[in-house]
Amino acid sequence: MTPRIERFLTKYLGPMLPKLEDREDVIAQTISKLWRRRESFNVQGVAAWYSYVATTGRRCGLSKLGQSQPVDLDEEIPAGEWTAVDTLAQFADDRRRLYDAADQLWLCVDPEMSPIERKRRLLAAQLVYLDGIAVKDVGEYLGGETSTRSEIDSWLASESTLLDLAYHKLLWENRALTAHLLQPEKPIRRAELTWWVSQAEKRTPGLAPNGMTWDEVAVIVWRYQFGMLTERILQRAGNLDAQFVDDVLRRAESRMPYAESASQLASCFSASWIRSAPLKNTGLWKRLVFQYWVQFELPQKQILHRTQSAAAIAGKTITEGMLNVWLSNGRLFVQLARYAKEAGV
Amino acid sequence: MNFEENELSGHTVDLIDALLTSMHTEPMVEVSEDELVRFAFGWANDEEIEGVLTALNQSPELRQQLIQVRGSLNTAHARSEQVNGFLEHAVNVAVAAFSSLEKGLAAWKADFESELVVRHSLKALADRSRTSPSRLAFSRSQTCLAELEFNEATSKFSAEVTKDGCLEIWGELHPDHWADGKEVRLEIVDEVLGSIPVGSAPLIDGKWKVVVREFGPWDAGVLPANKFRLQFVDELPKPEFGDLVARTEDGTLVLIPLLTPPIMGSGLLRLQIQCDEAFRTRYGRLVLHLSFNAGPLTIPLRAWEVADLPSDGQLIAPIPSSLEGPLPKAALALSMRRIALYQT
Repeated sequence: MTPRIERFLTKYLGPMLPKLEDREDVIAQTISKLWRRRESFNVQGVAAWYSYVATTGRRCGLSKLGQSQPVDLDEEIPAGEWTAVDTLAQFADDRRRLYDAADQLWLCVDPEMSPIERKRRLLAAQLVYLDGIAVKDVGEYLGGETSTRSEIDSWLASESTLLDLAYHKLLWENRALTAHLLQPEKPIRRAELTWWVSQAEKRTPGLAPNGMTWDEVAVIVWRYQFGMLTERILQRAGNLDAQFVDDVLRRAESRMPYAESASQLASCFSASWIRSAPLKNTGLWKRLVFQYWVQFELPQKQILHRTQSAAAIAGKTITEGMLNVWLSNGRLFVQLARYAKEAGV
Repeated sequence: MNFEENELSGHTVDLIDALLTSMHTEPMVEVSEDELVRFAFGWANDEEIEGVLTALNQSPELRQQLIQVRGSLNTAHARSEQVNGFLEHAVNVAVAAFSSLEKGLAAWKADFESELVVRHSLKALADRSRTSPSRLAFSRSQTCLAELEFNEATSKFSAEVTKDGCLEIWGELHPDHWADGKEVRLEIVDEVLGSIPVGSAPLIDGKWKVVVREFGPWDAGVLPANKFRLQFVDELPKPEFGDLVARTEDGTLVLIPLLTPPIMGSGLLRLQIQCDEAFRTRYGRLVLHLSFNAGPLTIPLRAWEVADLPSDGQLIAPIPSSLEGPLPKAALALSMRRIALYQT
């Protein structure tokens, strides 16, 4: 349980204690306090427990910041919100279940469909729409499972498969994005990326294979693979100035693959006479935003960067205000909790 | 239950946010070239298939690799179609398939396959037994210590899936049958799956334990105790190598026991099957076809009239390959038809 509480507090106390060393001290103090008071906690559910942990953590944090006077934290979860917290807390030990529920809610994935079946359908769609395999041949690529032509046709026209296809095309995990930004023409492979990262970390002098300096490579890796803010990059690098880092990042932003991915999807849907409009489906964009928020822990500004230009290709508008409502005001959490409760996920 | 609001207070959002992001992150799925080749050939098991599919869904580069692997089979196929001659077509397809087989074989290990068979068989058995809860031997969710006598010598028989994904099956013999130091073998005995050795273990204080590694998570739940047999190793008949499954024209599956594993060498494939008098009498009017199976391609190798099968069950078929060594059973297909489509 302790590692879980540590991770929880590391995230929860982040805004209050930006310095990692301070946070670690406070977390150790909080855990010790929780242990000493374990007898006094009256178990009322997972949400109540984490609320208790959070409040204890904040009190220790305030004490660390020198506020020795007792403070009324006013952090009790409002009565109408306990259900949402409790419902989502049920997913706390199983990330896969959380994402499955999100897929069902926003990508219309059939809850009864097995994971293998879903992945096979998605692969068929990727091979046909993105990789140019003919529909009549795609059955040969699906790992030995035989499917009829009419079955494959129905998958390729299904709204949920198309949403799944768009979601996977538009979501770039950190390493894939870094690999693309380092060498857009022929993105480096995962194994090669490890070597590039090690060279960049060592601050190897001279040029990387793509003609960038290793300093430029390091900045891209630190930002896009490890999510460091500019201040942290400057601390880490020592000899780089803010102007250099900003220039590298600005050039990288111009190579972002999101709009191009959306254009490719739009073209293949249009060429295949897809009547539905998966890219216009708000559920797709909510699912992407949710994933960037929960899995990649990106700030809203970066999520906006990753979705806005792609959505614009489909004529959808995503604004800062919209993300504020979805994320900071918890609307996505409420929708997911409501769905999970009603569907019994 | 109530969701009175569509939005949440800042504190609640921070709490949920920290709660969800503190979950363990799933590691990225890494797929080896071996696994990809097995998938392309249609030889992967369910666990592997799910891993490879996940990786293929995530990686355009891996999909390109899959297309190349499949292409190595299809190129010769397409070229031969243009020739428009059946013989050349067949030869080209067969040669191409066997060329790819070399790669496939490098990816295949005998140990891997035998473990795979055991895992599959246990799961298949459990799947078929779902409707017969009275025959529950054990389940994943609980360590069920149902003391079922699955043969007269056994007093206990139970199992569980451990945290690290192994299936442990253990038992205890009646004191009358204690023979410390002897080795016992647990096997599945089933009319559909045939006889499949699960594993062997020494007997200590009358107790034994067989472990099936990498069994993985399992939700199926039940296994019928009466489908298992425990035997002393020194009392076992000569080793078997499982069965080949032959499909008849009406779709019936016939299990044909293998007495030796399929071995390639000197341009020939050799295997020995059990074809006793009862088998010859029952299927004497049919022709047994042996084919090589590589994904969607099926390459006919040879056919025999069942009535004229060699008395020792030794089957020898020429192959267009100079490869030497064992061939996975999954690469072979048997069928039985009323007439010979081809004969060598």
